[in-house]
Amino acid sequence: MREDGIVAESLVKRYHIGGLLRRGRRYIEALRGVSFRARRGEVLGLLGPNGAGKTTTVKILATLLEPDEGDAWIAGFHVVKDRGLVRRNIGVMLSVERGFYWKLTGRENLVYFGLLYGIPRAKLDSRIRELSDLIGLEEVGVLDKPFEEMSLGMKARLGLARALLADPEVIMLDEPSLGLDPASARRVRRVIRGLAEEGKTVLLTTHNMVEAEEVCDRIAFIASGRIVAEGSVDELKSILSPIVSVVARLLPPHNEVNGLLDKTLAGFDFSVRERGEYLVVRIRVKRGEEHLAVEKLLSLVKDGFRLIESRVEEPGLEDLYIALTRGGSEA
Amino acid sequence: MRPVASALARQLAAEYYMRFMAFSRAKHLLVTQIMWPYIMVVIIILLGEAYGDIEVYAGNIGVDNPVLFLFTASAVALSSLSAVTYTASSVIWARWLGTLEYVTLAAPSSAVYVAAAGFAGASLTTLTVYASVVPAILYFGGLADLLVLGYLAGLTVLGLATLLAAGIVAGMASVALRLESNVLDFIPPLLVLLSGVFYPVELLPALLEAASRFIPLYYVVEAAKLYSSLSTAPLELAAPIYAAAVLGLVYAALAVPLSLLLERAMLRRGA
Repeated sequence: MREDGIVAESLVKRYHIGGLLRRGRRYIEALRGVSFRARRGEVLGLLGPNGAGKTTTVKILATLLEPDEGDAWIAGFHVVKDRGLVRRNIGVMLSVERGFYWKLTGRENLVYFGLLYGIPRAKLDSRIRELSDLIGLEEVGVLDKPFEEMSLGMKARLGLARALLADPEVIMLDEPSLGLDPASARRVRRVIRGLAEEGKTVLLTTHNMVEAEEVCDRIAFIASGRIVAEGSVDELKSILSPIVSVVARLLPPHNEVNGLLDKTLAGFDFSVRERGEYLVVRIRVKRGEEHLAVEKLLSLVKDGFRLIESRVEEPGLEDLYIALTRGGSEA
Repeated sequence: MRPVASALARQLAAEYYMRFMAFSRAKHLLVTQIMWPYIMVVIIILLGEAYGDIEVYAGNIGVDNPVLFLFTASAVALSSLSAVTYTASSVIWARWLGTLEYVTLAAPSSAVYVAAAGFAGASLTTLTVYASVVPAILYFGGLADLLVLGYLAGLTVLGLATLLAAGIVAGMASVALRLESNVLDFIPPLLVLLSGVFYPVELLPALLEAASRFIPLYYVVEAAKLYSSLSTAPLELAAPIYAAAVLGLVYAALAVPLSLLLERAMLRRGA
């Protein structure tokens, strides 16, 4: 288990409804048996709509919340039985906008949290310099600006710096690039990839499919408190969607070609759209049977069509997200 | 025990650092703290003169020098109340700022963070308040009174520790039970009333007078009363402080299992 940075096994979390005096048997089941693993040197993306259970999962793994059932280990330590050891091995970023003292500058906030984490003051200064180089704190003026005057991008960089301050083995980032400008988001993504290359385990929750595809080695989709799919981006695409589309742009020989298309492509799942003088034909086939669609397109060429371009389209991560999480709506 | 002690030490270092930095940016807070005992004393004396006689007040409360007593009692009360309110509010403040999760992750338990944050805030308040009343003590008393005030200030800092237990339980309860500031609103007026700082407990109904004996702050105020009688020696002043300390230790012993229960509640419900 030591080779796994994060192990979650059948985590269940229920939030009871009602206050102290109205506490009844009614509850909301936020997690319904969540299980996944993240290896060392890996970025695992936890994707799902609002209310799916992402933040609850992160809080349980960060020892801020106890599960009602199930177990979890961080760097080999149990999140309930070895809480202190888990806390020494994690860095967490839960919110971009809050979590710092507003009157203090970025540097003062980092010194405060560094002292809390037991980093000697002499080492702390050099660690802040290292992080400044890594995350670009100095170049955007984060270190000497009070937190209350910072932009969202600056706050995100500072939050990331705090998560990395104690050089933890496992880093958990909850929506780290939410609302960031492209330059800041790119910097954050680059840092995350760099951490994985150093052998750290990173758990990333995000709604951003481009980010997930670019940064994550593997992805776990969570919906209604359950992991509905887990694997690499390619694995997920192949497992969850065995259908690919062969898309061709054709120049027809004359205007009356519908009958010809219907006859040639009979038996295929296809659609035709007009784009100016061209027709865009999309033929959906099983993965590995793309050549059958191409043969039909070539037969259309024999019938007078001109093939301008063709390509095979994979389903996007966003398509998968929507399919798996029932439209990506509130769960 | 050692991990808890070392965590407490590093949390105290961090809290003092943060508060010094925050004070350096918000100097008006410092000015308010310095002015506070003077405002209290002036209001009480003006009200006293308007509705009665300061000599009668001195007789009722049982002190020789009422002005000296009011300054000392204000310093004692403000310092002692700050031990409870700083401790209890630190956890709510952290929740509002969004720092609670991060400070919790740095401590073996939330109670350790709450204790450190509360003690750091209260001890700085004590220092400021006692320093602020020095000119008044010199004016209305003398150099000898200043030495006794220093002695009393030292004992008050020790006394603060005895009040932390109440602050820890109040703060953790307010977060665990999601009561926010309701708990805090309730505590200070009750403590002021039952401590006898500005109103003699002997004039309260019997039930409240009996209840005051269970409040550590009552004994700290008793020490201030003894101090205002210039004939009292420092050793005699220590007696009520020791009574407060014993009571505080009893409360601390009760607070340990209670804070563990609240910690469990926070972990179950989320802070």
